[in-house]
Amino acid sequence: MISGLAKAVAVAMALATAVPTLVWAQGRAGFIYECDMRTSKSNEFWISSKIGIVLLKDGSVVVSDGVSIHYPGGTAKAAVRENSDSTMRLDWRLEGGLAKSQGREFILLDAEYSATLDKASNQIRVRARLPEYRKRFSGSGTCKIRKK
Amino acid sequence: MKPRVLISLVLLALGWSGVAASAAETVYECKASHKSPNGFVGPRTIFFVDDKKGTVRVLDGIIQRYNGGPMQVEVKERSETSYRLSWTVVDLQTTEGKYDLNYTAILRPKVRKYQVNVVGINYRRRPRAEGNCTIVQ
Repeated sequence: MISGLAKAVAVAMALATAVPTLVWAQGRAGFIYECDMRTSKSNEFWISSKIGIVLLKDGSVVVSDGVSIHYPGGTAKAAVRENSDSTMRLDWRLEGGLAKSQGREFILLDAEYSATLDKASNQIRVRARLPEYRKRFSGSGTCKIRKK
Repeated sequence: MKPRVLISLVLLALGWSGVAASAAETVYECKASHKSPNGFVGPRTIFFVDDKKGTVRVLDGIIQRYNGGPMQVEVKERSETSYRLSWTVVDLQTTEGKYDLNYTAILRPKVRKYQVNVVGINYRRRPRAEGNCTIVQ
């Protein structure tokens, strides 16, 4: 029940907050991959229904999704592991810690992500790892390219 | 088969607003140097210490799941260098049914170290955590 509620709120917030983040990023962006992920109960919130991957003109990459918005800064800088004609591989990390919501303190868990994007088909596979609990989640989806 | 704690790892977050505890509290974020077996002690424990009042609140993954936020705990003993604490988590859901579990902890603010033990569990490797703390507020 809590899981469902948290997920629903997170999705709603992701949709509401991803837009201004993307608008901000668009001014500096080469282009943006907007990815619609197939989520399931087994993903338990950690794979967002929508993931924005912003490729900035300086070559750096920023990820914004329904999970990152809960962390300080709201976005995550991604490390580009591979960027060939056919594939892009990214890693990013969300640093957990103490946070507060609606008057209550809670612990944000550390989360580590990796994503593989097939540029020919625009299919993406995202893997999440919670190192403190040895838990893993994964999901796949389809991306659209939005050019500036 | 020893029971394991069942804990949902859903992010119980409804919106970031930064760290904010009571102004009188010092917040120690403590990380276990080794993973505790069976999940009875979380990898990260946060102590909210009000030195003036001598009160302490504690938060970890289990307390968050079962209390919804930090729990006021009993200060069994307080010295110049340490707090000895205890608390109980009621109806902790495990793979083998529900348990009421008693925890004890020692926080040494000056050297920024901590230790958490679970009382009354007869394991060869007793679930426990110890490690270093940082002040986050």
